[in-house]
Amino acid sequence: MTLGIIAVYMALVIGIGVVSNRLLSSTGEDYFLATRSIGPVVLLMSLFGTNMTAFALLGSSGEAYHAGIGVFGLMPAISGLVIPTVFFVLAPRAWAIGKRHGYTTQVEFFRDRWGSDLLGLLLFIVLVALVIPYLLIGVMAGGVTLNQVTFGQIPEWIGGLVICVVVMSYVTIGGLRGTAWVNTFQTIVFMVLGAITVTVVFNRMGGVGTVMARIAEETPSLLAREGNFNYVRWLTYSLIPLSAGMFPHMFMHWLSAKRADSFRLTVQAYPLCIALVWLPPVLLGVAGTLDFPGLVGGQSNSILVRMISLHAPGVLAGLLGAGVFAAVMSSLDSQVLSLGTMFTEDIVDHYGYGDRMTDKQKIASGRIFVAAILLLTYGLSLVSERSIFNLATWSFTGFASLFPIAIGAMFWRRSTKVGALACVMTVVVLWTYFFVQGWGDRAYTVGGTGVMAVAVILGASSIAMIVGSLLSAPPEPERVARFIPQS
Amino acid sequence: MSSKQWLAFGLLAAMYVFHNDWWLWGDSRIVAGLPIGLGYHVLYMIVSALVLTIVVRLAWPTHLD
Repeated sequence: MTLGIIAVYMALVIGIGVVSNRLLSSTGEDYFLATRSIGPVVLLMSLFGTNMTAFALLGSSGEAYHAGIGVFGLMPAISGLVIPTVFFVLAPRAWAIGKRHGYTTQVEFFRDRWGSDLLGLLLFIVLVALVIPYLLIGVMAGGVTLNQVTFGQIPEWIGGLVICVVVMSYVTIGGLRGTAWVNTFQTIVFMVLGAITVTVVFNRMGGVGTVMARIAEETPSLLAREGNFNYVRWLTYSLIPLSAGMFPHMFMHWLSAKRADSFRLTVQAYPLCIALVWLPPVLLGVAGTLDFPGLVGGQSNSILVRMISLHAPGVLAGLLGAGVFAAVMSSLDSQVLSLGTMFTEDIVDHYGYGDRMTDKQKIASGRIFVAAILLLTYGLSLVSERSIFNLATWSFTGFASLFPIAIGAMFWRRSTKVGALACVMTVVVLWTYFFVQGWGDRAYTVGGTGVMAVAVILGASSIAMIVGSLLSAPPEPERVARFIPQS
Repeated sequence: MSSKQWLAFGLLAAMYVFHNDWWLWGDSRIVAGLPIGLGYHVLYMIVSALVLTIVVRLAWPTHLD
């Protein structure tokens, strides 16, 4: 029954991809950017669905299992303010510039802003490298979910493989229009199913108040932050959501909007959407300590699915499985499409290989690149036992540290390619250093001070951007005027 | 920046400050069925949505369309 529900769901998702393909016009701009025609509701749903991943469902519940209810304040509460603020400041401007000059990718946007092929190539490599751990948590979540809802009958490697194949199928068929439609459908699915499952589980456990009273007796430390969170870590963690300004898959959705006004609804509704998605898993993660005590490290990735399987097996477990798959696939699809688009536009086309290829061959080259990245990610998922929450945090740290690039491009006339290159290289060096230092440490902070690595790297990359720009020749006024109008 | 834009960013900065509820750091009381720290942040997100609605009305870059 459980598997049947998940199989029907997968077929539905591919079906939506096929239907949107019927409406697809034959231009590259439609495949990659849905002819910049996405309205407010689909834009909100596709941005939000892309943003909410296995991190929000399995990662949050797994972290709440260890660190308690403070996880809700640590990530979703501040994300509900910072992410829409990032959208408010950057998205309409990026859209307007992208539409005026016909940009289809983030790399193309920044390469043209500073007129540097080297910057474009470096950014392409860095963005792909940072997306891989983000893809990895999705593939891992698929494996964990299918394994748990079938009580171990289906090994984790099959779940990860199913996710990769289904996503590759409908992205290949439907392009960004298909992805936006599927995201809208999937976002509604995981928001509704999350609310239903938490209600059913807590009712069967005697109600939220009863469960919290039991936790207050058995492990009261999970209901407060003292002892679970370092206050400095809490403060510096608030820089992590700046990553939304540099995700290539989010940038691609920004460019797909119908008009700048389309972003208004997204900015206003985002905090409530985040609260609705994050609250159920955090509550279930804390409640999971009552039924499944003693899970260690990454074992808690599966606590959400374990709780559903225990308290609501059968149909609801199948629906929840579909819900988790929805959250995972609605992010993986955009990430995969953005990587394929960047490879086709910024490598194959930009470096002239496209001149010797037909349109079909160019799109095929993008798909082969994406398949190779997915294969690499799938291989890593078979050997990775890390916490989903931790892996995502490292990925977000890299993207957030690149944030000065976005600000410099759209707001600082004096910024130069030397400054931008210095910024990216600073992120590469420091991120690698801290990642190696923090390997295997769930709550790693710089030198044990409580300061998250993102604060140090972002500070250093901002200084590199400013100093590098001021020490180099000013950019050409005509180029700057294309991105920052005089008025 | 116009006075409306300054006001909008002032509101956002104030919300950022209120995220840091240090006075509830060690408090594990249950209020209305939820731990007080969790309840505070649920309320915080509702207020964030209201503030962002005001910010959008005050300072949306209408010249871009």
